[in-house]
Amino acid sequence: MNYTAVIPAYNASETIEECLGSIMAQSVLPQRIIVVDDGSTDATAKRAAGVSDLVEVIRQANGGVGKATTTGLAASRTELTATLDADDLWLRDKSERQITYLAAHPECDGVFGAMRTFGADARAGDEGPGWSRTTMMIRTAAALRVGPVIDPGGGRGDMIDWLARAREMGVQLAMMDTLLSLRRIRPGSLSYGRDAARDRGYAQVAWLALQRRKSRDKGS
Amino acid sequence: MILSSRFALASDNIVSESFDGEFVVVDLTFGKYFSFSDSGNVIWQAVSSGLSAAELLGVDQSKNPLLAVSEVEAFVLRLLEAGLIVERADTEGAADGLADSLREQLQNAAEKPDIQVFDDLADLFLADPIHDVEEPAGWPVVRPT
Repeated sequence: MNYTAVIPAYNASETIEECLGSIMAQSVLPQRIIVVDDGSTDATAKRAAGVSDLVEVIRQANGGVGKATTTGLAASRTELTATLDADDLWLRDKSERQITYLAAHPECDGVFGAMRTFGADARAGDEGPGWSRTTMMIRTAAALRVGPVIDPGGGRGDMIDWLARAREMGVQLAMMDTLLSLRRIRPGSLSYGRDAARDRGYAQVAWLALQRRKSRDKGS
Repeated sequence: MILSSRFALASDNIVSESFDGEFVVVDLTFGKYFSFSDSGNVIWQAVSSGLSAAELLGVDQSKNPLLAVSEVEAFVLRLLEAGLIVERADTEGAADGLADSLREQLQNAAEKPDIQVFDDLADLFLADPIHDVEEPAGWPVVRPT
């Protein structure tokens, strides 16, 4: 099964080459790598395009990581699509393992895997189930059925909302125990951790889930 | 005793926001989220802003039979047990006037104080990677349109 890699990127010039390098090192390469440059003001697009002929850069006005992901999913022309954040990395056999998994589980629409944090920081080394953009490989048709990835206010929680909607629609999502991806932690970053304005996104995700629950309850 | 106590959100991991006047609270430590009945919504707003339940109820709380003291007390205890609020040592109150407007809303409440807890998104909340990038270096950034 062929797959397309989708990377939403905003001012990611420092990490995009390493990120793309982890895709180019896959034991099974994607048919195409779509980098959605979300209005970057740095050299993200140029650096991305320089990595490989497989890379296609789609540029759009800055709209958020969710909107950029939506653009990338819509541009995928393969049966499968795998997404990745522009500062994270895949381990070498990530795609191969997930393609094998989906081939063996036709009832499954999307598959994720364990993720470990890395970087010069005390929090590096944490490992856990990666319900995240960086570990997702999904049947493209199923992803499009879920609809756009919404950017909650504050910029946090976009994938929680999207995955919650997917589950509610009956999209079958599986988690592999295997470590497949690495998530970067930048040392000394002030915006890491709790931030009231940004955490508002999480509250909005919960509120949206409550509204959907109310509509379902009314409909039943 | 609990009625005269003042509270604050238990930690930075408790996120409380209102949407269309309806409060939703997320406990990011456990990935649970909470919603309230109409009177619960008002009492939550009060106690999470530093008002005591007694101040909110005033002396004439018997006007609404749904708001028996025992019900309000039980509700505040549930907030404490859920780990959403902690008792404050200081006695400073919330902004002037808040109690009056909330008291009016409370008198018109149609449901007794109640809280609902949901854990269907817990695995997703607990796994969500916070993007530790700094503006303008990268996400999370959504420019106002």
